[in-house]
Parts: sequence; C-alpha cells; structure tokens
Amino acid sequence: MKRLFPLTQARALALTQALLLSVLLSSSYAQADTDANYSELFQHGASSAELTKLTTQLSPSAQAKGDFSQYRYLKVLKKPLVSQGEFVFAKDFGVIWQQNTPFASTLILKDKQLIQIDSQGNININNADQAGSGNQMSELMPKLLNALLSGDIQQLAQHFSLSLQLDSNAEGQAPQQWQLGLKPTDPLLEKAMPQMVLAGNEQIQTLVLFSRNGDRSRIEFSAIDESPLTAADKQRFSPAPLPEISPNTAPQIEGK
Amino acid sequence: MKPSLNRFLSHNTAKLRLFIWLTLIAITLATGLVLWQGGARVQSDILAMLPKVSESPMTQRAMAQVEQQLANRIYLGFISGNEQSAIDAAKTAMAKLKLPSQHNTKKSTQNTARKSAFIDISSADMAQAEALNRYYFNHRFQLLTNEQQQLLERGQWQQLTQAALEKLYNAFSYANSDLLTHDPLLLYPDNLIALAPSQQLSVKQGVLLKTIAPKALNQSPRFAAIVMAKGRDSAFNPNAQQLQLSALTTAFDAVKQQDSDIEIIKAGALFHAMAATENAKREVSSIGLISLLGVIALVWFAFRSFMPLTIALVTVSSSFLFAVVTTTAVFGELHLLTLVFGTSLIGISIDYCFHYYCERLNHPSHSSDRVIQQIFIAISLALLTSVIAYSAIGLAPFPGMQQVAIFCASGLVGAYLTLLLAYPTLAARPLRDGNRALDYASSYQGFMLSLMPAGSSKRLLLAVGTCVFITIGFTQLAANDDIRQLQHTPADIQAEEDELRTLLSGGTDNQFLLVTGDSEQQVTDELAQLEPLLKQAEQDNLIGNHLSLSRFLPSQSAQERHYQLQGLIYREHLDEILASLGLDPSIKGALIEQYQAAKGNFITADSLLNHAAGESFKPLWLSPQEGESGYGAIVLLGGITQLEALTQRFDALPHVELVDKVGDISTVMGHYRQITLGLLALALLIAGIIFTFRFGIRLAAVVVAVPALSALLTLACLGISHNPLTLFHALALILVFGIGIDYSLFFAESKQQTRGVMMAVFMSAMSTLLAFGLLAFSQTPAINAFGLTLMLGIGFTFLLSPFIQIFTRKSIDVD
Repeated sequence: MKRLFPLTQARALALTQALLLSVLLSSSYAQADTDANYSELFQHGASSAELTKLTTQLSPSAQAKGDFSQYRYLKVLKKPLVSQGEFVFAKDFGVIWQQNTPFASTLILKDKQLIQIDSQGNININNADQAGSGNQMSELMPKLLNALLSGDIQQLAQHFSLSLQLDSNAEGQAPQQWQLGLKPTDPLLEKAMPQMVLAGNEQIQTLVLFSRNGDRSRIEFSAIDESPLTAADKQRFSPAPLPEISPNTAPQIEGK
Repeated sequence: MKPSLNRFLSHNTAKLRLFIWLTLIAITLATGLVLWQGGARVQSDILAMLPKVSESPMTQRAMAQVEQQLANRIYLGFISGNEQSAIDAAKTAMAKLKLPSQHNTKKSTQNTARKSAFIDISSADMAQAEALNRYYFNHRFQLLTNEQQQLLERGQWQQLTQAALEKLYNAFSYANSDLLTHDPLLLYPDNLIALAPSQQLSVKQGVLLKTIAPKALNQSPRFAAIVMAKGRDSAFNPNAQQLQLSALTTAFDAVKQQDSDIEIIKAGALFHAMAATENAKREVSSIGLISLLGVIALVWFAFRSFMPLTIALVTVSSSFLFAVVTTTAVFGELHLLTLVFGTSLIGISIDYCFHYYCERLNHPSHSSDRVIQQIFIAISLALLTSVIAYSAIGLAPFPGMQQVAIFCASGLVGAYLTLLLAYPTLAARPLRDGNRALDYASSYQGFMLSLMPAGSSKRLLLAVGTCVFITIGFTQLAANDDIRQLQHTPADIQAEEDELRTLLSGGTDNQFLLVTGDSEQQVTDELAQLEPLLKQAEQDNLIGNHLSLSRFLPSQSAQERHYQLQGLIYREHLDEILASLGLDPSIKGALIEQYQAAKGNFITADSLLNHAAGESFKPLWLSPQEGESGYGAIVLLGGITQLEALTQRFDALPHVELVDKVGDISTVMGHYRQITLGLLALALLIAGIIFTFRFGIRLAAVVVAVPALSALLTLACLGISHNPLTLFHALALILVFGIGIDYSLFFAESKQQTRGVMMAVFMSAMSTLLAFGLLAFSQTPAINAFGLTLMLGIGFTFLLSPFIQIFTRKSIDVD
C-alpha cells in the first residue's frame, strides 16, 4: 500500500548497525594514554616516490601463505594473550586467517563474503558489503592483508595517511628494512585504532595495532611462501559442510 | 414586482446606485489590501483540502505526531562508481545546505540572523549513535539478547565465557580493556547491535553509504551516499519552497562542479509539492487565460462592440475581487485549488452580463433600467439557485471545497450587485444593431425544436431509448473514493523516489499501529507481545518492515528478569569467569558494585525520551495530557502489501489499533459523495417548489427536469466511459444544476420571447464550456473529474433547455 503523500519515511529514526558498531569500537569508557613509541615514525609523511620504491621492493605476488603469531597486550589482562595460526592469501580467492592455538577459529573473506568459524565449528556467513551485519574491523584485516600482500600501496593510501621510515643503516643493500605507519582517514576508524605500524623488508614481518585506551596487538608473520596455491589450499576457501544460511545472517531481501 | 423595488431600480436612482457600487468596491479593495498586508497568502498545501476525520483524541495526537515527524523531510542520494566521490559529494552537499540561505527577504536579513532553509542535515547520525551507546551502556545490566537470556536461564555461563574468550583473541574485535572492566563477558555489544535492525547500509567517514549491486555481472558496483534533511518550514509554503529549492540548487551546483559525473536522486514531499505547485500555476494561467481569450472572442463575435466586453471585464473583475476578498476574510488564506476551480466563476458571472446584453439586443428601444427590470426576476432566481447549489458544495467537509463554495457564491453576489448597481450607468450606451446574432440564435432554436419527433410513438421510442441508455450507463457506473487520486505525481519524480526508497530498504506507509494502555508498564508489555506478531507479518510478506519502541523500551518485567539472570555472573561465578578469561581479579569489587548499584535502574519512557539517545523516538510515544489518563505507542509500518489482511490480524487485539488515515479519509469521501448526490436531489426538489409558486407545478417540473435529466445523462456517460464516480464528480453535478437551471429559468421566464434568451444561453454555455472544457484537460485527477462532469452536464443542459419552449407554449395555450 503506497502512501498518499511522499512523506518518504522515518529513516531518521532507524539506526544502522554499522553506526552502532563503529561507536562501540571507538567508545572509551575510561581514559588512557596512547603509545608514543612510534611518534618519530608518524612524523615522516611518505612521499609517492618512497611508496613506489616500497611497492617494488615488496615484489608483489598474486598469492602467499604462511604462519602468524599474535600477541594481545590488554591492560586488564594479567598476561598477554598469545595465539598462533596460519594464513592463506590469493588475489583471485581472498584471505583465510586461521588461528590454531590455543583454540581453533577461522576467518575467511572471499567473494564479498565474510565466513567465521568458531571453536565449536559453528559457521557464520555474512555478506561483506552488508556492513551492518559484519564487523567493520574484521573486514578491515583481510583488506589490509590483501593490499599489503599484493603490494597495493595505492589502495592503502586511499584509506590511510601513510608515513614511512626506511632503515638508513642498510642503505644500498637489499633487502632494506622499513616501517610503514598507517593512520585511518575515516574518523570513526581512527578513534578505534588510531595507529598501525607495519614493518618488513622484502616481505612484511610484523603488524602492530594500537588502540586509544593503551591496548596493543602485535602480529608476527613467518614462513611466507609465495608459490602458487595447491588444490588443497583452494579447497580451504570453501569450508565444508556448507551451512544453511540462517534467516538472521542472510542478507535481507527486499520484498518485491 | 414590488413597487418599492421598481422605484429602486428606476432611472432616478442610477447615480446613487453607482455610488453605492463604487463604495462597495472601494471597501472590498481596502479590506483585501489589509488582509494581504496582514499575512494572507495563497496556500498550495493539498493537505489543507482534505476533510477532517473524527477520531479519538489519542488517535488524533498519534496522527499529528506521525505527520509532524514525516513532514518536510527530504532524502538525497549521490551516486557514483567511485565510493570516495559519492562520499565527497554528500559532504559538499551537507556543507552547502548548512549555510544560511541567500534568498531571505531583505527585512529578515537586517533584523534577524539568516537561517538555512533546512535543519537536521545529516547522513549517518553519529551524535545519536553515541548518545544511544551512552544511554544503554548505563542500563547494560537490564539488557540481554534472547540468546544470552536462554543461555543464562539454562545456567550455561561457561558458554558465554568461551565466546568472550574468542572475541578477546581477535585483534580486530571490539574487546578492549575498558569494556572488559565493565562487562567481562562482553554481553553489552550484542545488545547494542540488537537495537538496530540489520540494514544494507554502511557508514564511511560519517556518511551513510549503500553499495548498489551491478545489474550485470561484468559491471562494477556503484555507491550511493545518503543525505537527509528537514525543511525549516512547510514544503507546501511557496516561500519556503523557493528557499529550499535555491538552497538545493546551490548545493547540487557545488557537487556537480566537484564531480560532473555524479548522479543525484532526491525524494520528499518538497519535490511533489513543487511539481504540484508548478502544475497548478501553469493550469491556472493557461486555463484562465484561454478561457478569458475565448470569452472575449465570443463577446466580440456576438455584439461587435467593445462596450459589452468592457462591461463583461468589469463584471468578471469585480466578481473576482469579491470572491478573493471574501474567501480570504473567511479563511485567512486562499487555496491554489480554489483558484483553479474558481476560474469557473468567469464562466458563470459573465452569464449575467450576457443575459443583460442579449435582452438589450432583443429590445433595442428599451433603456438600460428597463432591461434590468425585465430580467430582474430571472437573474435573482438564478442567483438564488446558484447560491443553493454552492451551499451544498460547502457542506462537504473539505476546507478546500468550502473555500470553492464561498469563493463562487460571493463572486456571484458581486456580479449580481454589479449588474444591479453599476450597469444602469456604465452600460447605458445603446448597442449596435445585433439582429444577425439574434437571428442565428433563433434559427438554431428552431432547428433544435424541429428535431423533436412529432408522432407520439416516436416520442415514446425516444423516451425509452433515453431510459435504456441511462440504465446501461448506471449499471456500468462504479465509484472510487481513494484520496490518493488527488495527487498527480510526475513519473520522473516517482522514479527517483522509488530508487531512494529501495536504497533505504523500503519506506514507511501512512498506516501505523497505535498501542494503548492505562500505564506505561501496560504499553511496554503490549509492545513486547506485539513484536512476534509483527515479525510473523514480515515473514508472511504482509509488511516489509516495522519500527517499534519495543526494542528500545523493553518491558520492566523483562528488564528485571535480565537483571536477575545476570546475578548468575556477578553473584555466583565472577571469580571463575575472571580466571578463565585471564582478567585481573582486582576488577571484581568494582564490577559487583556496578551490578548492585544498577538494581532498579530501569529504562523508562521518561528517561529515554528525554535523553539525547531517545529524542528522535519522541514522536512514537504518547504520554497522557491534561484530562487524559492513557498511554500510547506508535508502531510505524512500511511496505504494506495487503492492508485488509493486516487489519484483520490486529483486529482481535484489544489494545492495538491500525490507524489508516488515508483509508478513513477515503471512507469519508465516499460518504460525502453519497450525501452530495442526495443534496443534489434535495436541491432539485427545493428549486422545484420555489418555481411552482412562479410557474405552476407543470412548468416548474419541466424547468427542474432539464438539469435533472442532464445529470442522469452525464452519470450514464461517465459509466459508459468507465470513469469511476468520485466526490468531485458529484460536486460538479451540483454546479451543473446551479448553472443549468439558469438556462431553463431564462427560457421559462421569457415565455415566447426566446430569441434573446437563446443567444444568452448559447453564449453562456459556450463560455462555461470554454472554462470547464479546459479543466477537463487538467492533469490533476480531481480537477479533471470536475471539468469532465461539467463539460458533459452543461453540454446536455444546453442541448435540452431550448425544448422548454414547447412547454411554455403549451402552458400559455392552457392559460
């Protein structure tokens, strides 16, 4: 039943989940100081020439896989949370981020789908462009990896203001050590995660995430293998058994 | 005729009468100027034309609140293949719209600070989202999602702990130290997210963004950035409309300059109102102008003199002056639709002028005063019947229609007074010989009368044929009282609106649910119980979406239960939970303190709606006002597919009412359509009785039969051409009666001297058809219906009225 007059609707009343999530991420329920270790790095704005150089040095590959170790330093925790796992990246397929210890959980981004498998083996599928249902931050990581591993610095420059520090001691000798500082341009994201630092030489080595309340996460990459994916690797992008898409997680379909 | 009246109409008083007339005109003019200075204006709000529906005070308040919430909002979409371009366009547009308008009146620029044409300009409302977070975080111990509640009811706190741990390990999750010290199991984020329905909208850089999936596989997706705003003043106020339009033009120009490829779509009442205003203005000017030109040509053709033309213009102008000033004085404003309908006044007021001049043409030797005395009875009866007809229109509960009635009635009185008071002096100059036109008229009437079959069997056949035609027409006649037909929306505006509606996941319909109760507690309970029914209705595709306060305002019993269930965490297992998560045990004391302090800290309508978080929900809540005791909540519905099925579903619930203003108004329209047709019959009867005193019962019956038969034939034609009957057809039929009865009256009054009358009726019918025939070409369905009915009705009356002479002849024979 169409309305008489085009008083379009009360969308102003409705909220978007994306918005609330962003608020959640950026909310600080207490005050805390930020890490100042990298203040020097963030003063070095990256020139496009430097970025181009970095892109060549990274010698982008269409795929990569390897292991990661993650250290979460939360102020409220007695000791850091340490986890290990592996990742698979392919330009044509997407990203698999699989934690193996202390418990298994997997995150797969492919075809604009965000698939999450928890420790119980429950599979949850979200449409990535339906940002309201996915977690914006969970989306961010695969995108970051995608851009980094494929050496797509330009894509990074779209969403972050970049600063770069090249290791002067190793000048002239490849592989040169570098540190890339990333500050999100999106104000909401910036509130949630004001700084990220990526470091490496030919390949990326570490990613450090800082949050405004002083929490910090460090991810170390190792055993990076850029050879083509095996059939088994590709199979992992489609976790079996394929779950029924529940009404709650399925993209909302407009009534026709 | 009374001698005193005759004396008044005699030549001696001509100067005095002109003086009275001039004084009247001067007074009216002055009144008009005062009214206009006092802020009277042309109103183009179509809502102002709608009838008032009687509802309970609570329902009326609910309607008013919903209307106010939805009114004057506009929605803009900036579409681009590049996400950043869409976002930048939205940002530029918002910045421009926030600037004070440049087209304010000079007065206000000097005295007051200049204001922007729009308020509440926003895309993603960050401030509200943050306020919601603040408010609900404070009430986190009163909140649980269904899943959380079930787990706690089964005592499965370990499962919640495990889920929290997993979030803790995710470096990209919202688990952080701050949140953990207040909510170790991370229960709150899910509750906050549950407040917002899942939508296909994202937020980037503070801008609401929608990805439009490509239509074909090989195309890349496009991005739409959404901007919303509310007009500072009504979209139907012409000045505000202009201000808002120029503000939008400025904003769009800036956006286009930045990126010429950007596509802009818009939706909102403003754009419909603008189209309606444009349309009405165009129609008033074109129909009014063509009507006027046609009439001028007609007069020139008939009288070959500029004098009648000048007098006709004087008559029409003074009639319009009276009409405009009286209407403004009564209503304080003039509706644009009144003016459109009112153009018909030209056609009617000029009839008096025609009648006067045709009579003079017929009796060239008679003085102006003599002619007026001759036609005085006919003109007065004509005025009387027309005013009766217009009063009937005025009985309709449409403010707009009441305006039309007052407008036309007062305009006719103005024309009548002009004829009586000013003509003796102004129109005293004799006419040139006009026999040729009179001869045409006479031979036309002779031709018409010769068409009447002579034999009684043939006459019977004609009567039967007419009856059959009318019967067939009536069987085909349907009615349609849907008020949506009042609105004519250009296709391109509708298309843009539909596109935006799709982007925003449907819209909100005019129908809504009103939930009432004796206490706040009862209403929130009712809302909670209603929620599963609404979800079911969504699944059954009866509605597309709904917006209820139930999510934001849980019932107090549910809140209390949630609080008690969380006791499992904070009273019994906090040590184990903190240990399993590896959290610092020192936070335990503060956590327990927070939990205990939160007891009875309920989310209430008062606290929510007076908090920044709930400000925009205010229109959905009704607290008792003076003299009332009940509470109410509004549930907005969108994408309704089957209204009847939906109504049935909620009929059984005693505290839930489906408020359907559109349906109610349509019902009222139908009701008044029937009443109007009844009034028409009554008006015919009254006119018949009045005429009986003058003409005797037989001729009176014939005089009334002409408009009656015309009305029947018109209805039959509408039926056969499949035009569903509306109130506007019925109202037009009343006018057909008002004008048509003049024709038969003039014929009946003139007995055998019908040459002048025939010519007057011809000219009057021509001028009326010119005015109304053009209304039938209006794009607004209501005006179109009005015009079409009048065209048919006047046409039939014009064709039938000459036959009255047959009966006047007979009645003379009988005498």
